[in-house]
Amino acid sequence: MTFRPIAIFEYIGARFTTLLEELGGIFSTFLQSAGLLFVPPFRMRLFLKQMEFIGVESSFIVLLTGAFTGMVFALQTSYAFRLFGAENLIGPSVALSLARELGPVLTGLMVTGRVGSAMAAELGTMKVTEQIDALYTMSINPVQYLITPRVLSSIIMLPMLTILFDFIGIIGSYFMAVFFLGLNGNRFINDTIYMVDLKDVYIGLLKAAVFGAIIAVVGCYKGYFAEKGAEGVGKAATQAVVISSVSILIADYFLTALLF
Amino acid sequence: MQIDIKGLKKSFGTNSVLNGIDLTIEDGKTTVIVGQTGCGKSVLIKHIIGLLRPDAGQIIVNGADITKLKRKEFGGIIKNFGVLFQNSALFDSMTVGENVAFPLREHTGLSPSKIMDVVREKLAIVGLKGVEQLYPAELSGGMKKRVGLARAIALDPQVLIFDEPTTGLDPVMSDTIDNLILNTQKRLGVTSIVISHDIPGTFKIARWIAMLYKGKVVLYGSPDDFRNTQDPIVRQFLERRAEGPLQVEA
Repeated sequence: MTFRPIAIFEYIGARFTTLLEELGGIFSTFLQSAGLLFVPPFRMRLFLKQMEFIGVESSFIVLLTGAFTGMVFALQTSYAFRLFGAENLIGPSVALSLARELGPVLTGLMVTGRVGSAMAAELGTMKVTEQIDALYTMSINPVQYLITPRVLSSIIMLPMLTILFDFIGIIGSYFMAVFFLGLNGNRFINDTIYMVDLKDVYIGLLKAAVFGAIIAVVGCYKGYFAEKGAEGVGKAATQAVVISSVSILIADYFLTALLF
Repeated sequence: MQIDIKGLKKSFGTNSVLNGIDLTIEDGKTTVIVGQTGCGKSVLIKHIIGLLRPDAGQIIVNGADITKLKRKEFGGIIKNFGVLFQNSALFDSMTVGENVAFPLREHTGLSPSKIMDVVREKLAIVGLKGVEQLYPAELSGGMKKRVGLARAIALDPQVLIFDEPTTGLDPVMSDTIDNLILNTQKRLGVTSIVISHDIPGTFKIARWIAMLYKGKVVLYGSPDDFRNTQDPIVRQFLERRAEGPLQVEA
């Protein structure tokens, strides 16, 4: 076999084209689903069902990860702050990190694992078993019926879950700081309130809404265009999680750079 | 509702699947489309129900070329079509009752109790009773087909399309489904298009038969025309022989 240097460029070019196609597909899915939000019929039941699935049913996993994140964060920061006697900063630093970064990002990643993969698998199965074709032949727009409720619900529920994560994380760190590290509880609360701005929380929630859109659009896009039976559905679910997780981290960087 | 297909062509990449199909589906009659696997039957059906757009050609329904219609206008036409998919395509997150009720809920203003009446009536037409609360996963293949048919006729369509309705069923169930297709057709007077490679079933239900080969219609005629033809391609297909002009694609 002869070595063709041009093959490297062909490979990179082909991968780049695929990436652009995927991005275009994902963005166009988002635009379509958003546009159909304002077109009747409005199916309230579907929105509520998705909100329950994405929000209510994710709350336990978010509470669990939030509590432990807050606790471990308090523990870790205490080592550093103790060196120069600044333990009173444990509360504010935990609260700020949770509100600005950890709350939205970790909530986004947890929900991606649970919801993004489920959306891709569900829509993928519907695609390969012709259920999406069936919707179409019943004169029902599958994007409006399947994707729009998922995207909107996800955009609404992710900030809600982030509030939950922030709140339980701060309680976890309070618990750690007061009962294990011996800090004064009142001072912990007062310092935290003094140092954390509402703006920090709001921007964190805005990030969460963007992550919500990413999770639902990527999950739905991957499922909706799944092919080749069970293997294709499995691949769609895996890719949905990988693409969403990476996109959340990339989007987080740009949102932080832009908004703070 | 008569459907006129004129010069329909479709390729996927370099693979040309339909090479100029000319076919008339007569109003109020059953037309069976037969042919080898991969001859373009399913692709043809997907064009009729608007899931694919042709590269060239027309499909005329009610005087309008449906391949040129916008999504919204096409939505009006497709409501008159009922489709029974190969694997029934029942919504597996809904019960049997909800599946049959689905098109009624979406497209009629009927009250929930009236919808349930219609659901029971349609299920009775396909010979099912008391299955409304079951989920598709709890049904046998034959029952799924029947529920699929009940859902397809829920809105009293003028055209019924069956994509391989008896594939994967035992001979007795296949004949039951054939009878169902015959009875539904007689009862509702609909135009039926059936895709099949089940020869006895085809002769039983068809008023007209069209055989596709390499993306074209090789023979269109009545069951008797098919019985009497000397066309080697058609004869080989009807006689279930591996030897002859028809070859299995490697």
